[in-house]
Amino acid sequence: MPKSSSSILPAHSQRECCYTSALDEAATFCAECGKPLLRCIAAEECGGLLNDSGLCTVCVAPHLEVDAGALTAVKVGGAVSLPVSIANLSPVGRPLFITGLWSREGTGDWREEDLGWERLSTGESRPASISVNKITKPGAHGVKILVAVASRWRWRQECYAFTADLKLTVSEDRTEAAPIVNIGGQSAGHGNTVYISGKTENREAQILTEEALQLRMVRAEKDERRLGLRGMDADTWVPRNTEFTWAGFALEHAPRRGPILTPDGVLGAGRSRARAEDGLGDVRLLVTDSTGTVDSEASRLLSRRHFELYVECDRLTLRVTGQAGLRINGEAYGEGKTIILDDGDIISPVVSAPESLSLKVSFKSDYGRVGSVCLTRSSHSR
Amino acid sequence: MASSPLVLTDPNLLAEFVRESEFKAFFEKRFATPPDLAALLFRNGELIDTFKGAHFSVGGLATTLKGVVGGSTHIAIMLADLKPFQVQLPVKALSRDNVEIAGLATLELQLNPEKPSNILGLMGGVTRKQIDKSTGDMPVTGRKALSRIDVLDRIAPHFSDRVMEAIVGRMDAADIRGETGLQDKIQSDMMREAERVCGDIGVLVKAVSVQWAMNAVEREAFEKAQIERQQEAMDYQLQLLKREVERQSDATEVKLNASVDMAKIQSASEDELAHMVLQSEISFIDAREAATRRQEMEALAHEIEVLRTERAAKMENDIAEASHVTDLTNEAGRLRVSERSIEMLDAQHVAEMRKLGVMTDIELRDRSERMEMELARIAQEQSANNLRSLMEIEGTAADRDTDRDIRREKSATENELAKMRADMESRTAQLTAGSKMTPEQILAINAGLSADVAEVLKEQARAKTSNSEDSMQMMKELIKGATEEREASRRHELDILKAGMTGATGVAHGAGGRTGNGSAMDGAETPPDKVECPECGRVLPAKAKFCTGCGHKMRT
Repeated sequence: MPKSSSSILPAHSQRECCYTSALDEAATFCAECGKPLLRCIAAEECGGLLNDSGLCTVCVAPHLEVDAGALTAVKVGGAVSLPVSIANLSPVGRPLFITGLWSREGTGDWREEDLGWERLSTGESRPASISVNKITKPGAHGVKILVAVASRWRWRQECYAFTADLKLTVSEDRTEAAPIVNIGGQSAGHGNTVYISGKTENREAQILTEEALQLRMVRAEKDERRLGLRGMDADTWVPRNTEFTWAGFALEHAPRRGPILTPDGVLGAGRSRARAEDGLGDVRLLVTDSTGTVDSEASRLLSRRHFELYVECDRLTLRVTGQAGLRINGEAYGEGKTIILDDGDIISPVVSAPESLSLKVSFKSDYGRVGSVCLTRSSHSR
Repeated sequence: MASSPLVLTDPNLLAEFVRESEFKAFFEKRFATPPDLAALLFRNGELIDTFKGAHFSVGGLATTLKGVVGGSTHIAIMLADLKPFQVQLPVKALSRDNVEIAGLATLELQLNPEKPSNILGLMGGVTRKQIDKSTGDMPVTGRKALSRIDVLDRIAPHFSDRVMEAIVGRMDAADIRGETGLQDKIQSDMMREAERVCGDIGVLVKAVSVQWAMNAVEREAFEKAQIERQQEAMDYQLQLLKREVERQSDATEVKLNASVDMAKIQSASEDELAHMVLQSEISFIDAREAATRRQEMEALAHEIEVLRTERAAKMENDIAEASHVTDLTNEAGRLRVSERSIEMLDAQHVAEMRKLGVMTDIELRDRSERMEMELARIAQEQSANNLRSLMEIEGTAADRDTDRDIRREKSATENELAKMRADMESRTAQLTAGSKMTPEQILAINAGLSADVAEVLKEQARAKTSNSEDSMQMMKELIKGATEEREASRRHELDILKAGMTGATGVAHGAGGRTGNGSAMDGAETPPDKVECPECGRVLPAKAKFCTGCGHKMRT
């Protein structure tokens, strides 16, 4: 458990000026440094800003420690079970969900540890154990612990993985030699017996930790993608600050080019007017014919909030909110469904006439990071 | 398909015809001859070809066979062993000095691998006839196999006279043994003879050695030497006996008790002396010690033994009482001294007794053994005692160690418990403190205000509003105000600093006769509080560098 009182405060994920600017709910950029303000999904509760890797340090503050009295030295061929405690240090009463725990020795395979619980309330610390299997070689062995955590807010959740390293000393299993007693022939008859005591042998005591071992937890982005916790796949991910560009939309029908900056991080798309027109939506969808005239009949098939777009766990996600549902790549999805969008996907909001209005999703990525998502609208009513 | 090997049926055989029954199955099987066997193929008794290490199968050689088997021709395969082999041949000859010389010649032979077909020269020929069932004899016209003995029988007669007699006849019987030159000569002659006799029939002689039996001359010399040795031993014994007798006569003192005149005895001859003895005129008195003297000596010996035992017992007692190792060593030293003195006494006594002839050697040995055993017993007891005391010391030390360990463990455990308790308490306190933090406080702290200020603001916000949502809003406003205030106070400080600097330059300017630019400052207009974003029209505080709505840069 951290000792200084300052460490119980969440780490600053952004500069002070950004926090000051974020006090204004309507603010989307920092007035001081001009940086976009990316709010946590639970900003209503925590008021936190995401750091550059999409983590809210106010909500997600797991802590791992090896309990006092754990065995940290083991002999060759021995196995060890390390008692650990996982705690939620979030200061604002946000629960944290531990969705998985893995361990491995050195570069071995990850082994999933059994965890009988999931929820960690604020300030709560719950036990788990890490088992280290038979080790065949002596020396200092590194044990890696991987914790998958989730922060949930309404229907949304953000998953993360953290790793911690632990050193385990493995000593050689030496067989003890029996003491040798020599009795000299000359002195044997005169009371000068040579006696070699067996007590000179020193037995190595078991090394136990005297106090809890604080483990430094480090964010493990690669493991997050490998485990499928975040990202589209192991090599591609859509970060929260991805720039969205809108093609084929009237200027007032789509948000400005840039990351999603709504307070809840969700873009609502539907028939209702966009915020720029003092409406409730973010993206206005209307069916138009080839001349650009709005087909009110066909547009009425769209709900006022037909679907929502947001970035969750480094994935571009679509949630169907319209009663009529929609099609993605020709496949129909009903209300309440969430779909992960990939490069080249085509969203057809009108199920009965998919070609009347469609949005094509295209990604531009560098080294796997999708820097820009372009949604191209095309509408051809009959 | 694996080949089954064609091998000789007996290790003593050199060559053999493959049995016809096996041969008939030739078309169903594959055969192989190992490279150390030669396979001779016959058709109608005529040798067609010779193979070394060949495979006989449906293809290759079998094609040849097919044609010949198709007719009424007879096919046979003979196997010949090409490895060198050893045979032994007893030899006999007369030496130059007419002594019969016998020996065993060992010959290393080999069938000529270059000309294995010559092996037929050793066999009587090839026949179709099998063994006569009624008599079991092999027909004289031919044989089915050739053994090593057959080869030996063939060449042995040529060696006896031409080689052995000729060579041995030139030597004396005594010179034959160990003569390497002779062996070499025999070997070369035998090889030449074998080449002459068997060269055409395909046998090579690789090496020959003869192991000689003992001949008559050698046997005589041996017996003579033996008798001489015996004689020598007997002479030596005689010498020993003589010396013994001499010693006896030197050592024996004879006392004569005579009833006649001394002068008479001295002048008497041996016969006369014998007569006197018979007449009991003189008699021999035993010159050795009398029984009384012996008893005295024995008593003295006993006393020494008692003395030794007593002192040993005393010493043992002392050692048992001594508890320290140093004492033990000292005691052991003292014991050694006393033992040495006793031993000295004993040795002197024994020497004396031996001189006087009181005790025999056996008695003396028994005595010394008894004493040694006694000593060993005492030493054993002492060792056991020492060991016991050492182990006791060690045991006590171990007990002390254990006690100390237990105490240490106990204190460590207590310490650990206390630590854990303290840790738990601090953790609980921290967690409680952490969990009690409100979003308002977090907001304030994140915005760069201290925790105390955050607390004050929170209380103010709560006091001013009724519900939590309003409180949050109020809090935000308060924080904004507080940060602005902080900003303002910073700017004020900066202004004061600037004014100070300007004043200093003003003074400097004044000294130089120039006016400062104070008038320019006086004429400056108060900047507006709010500005509008040219991009999105949002109203922003004038100090904003960027538009909070669209990110437009407000100031360059």
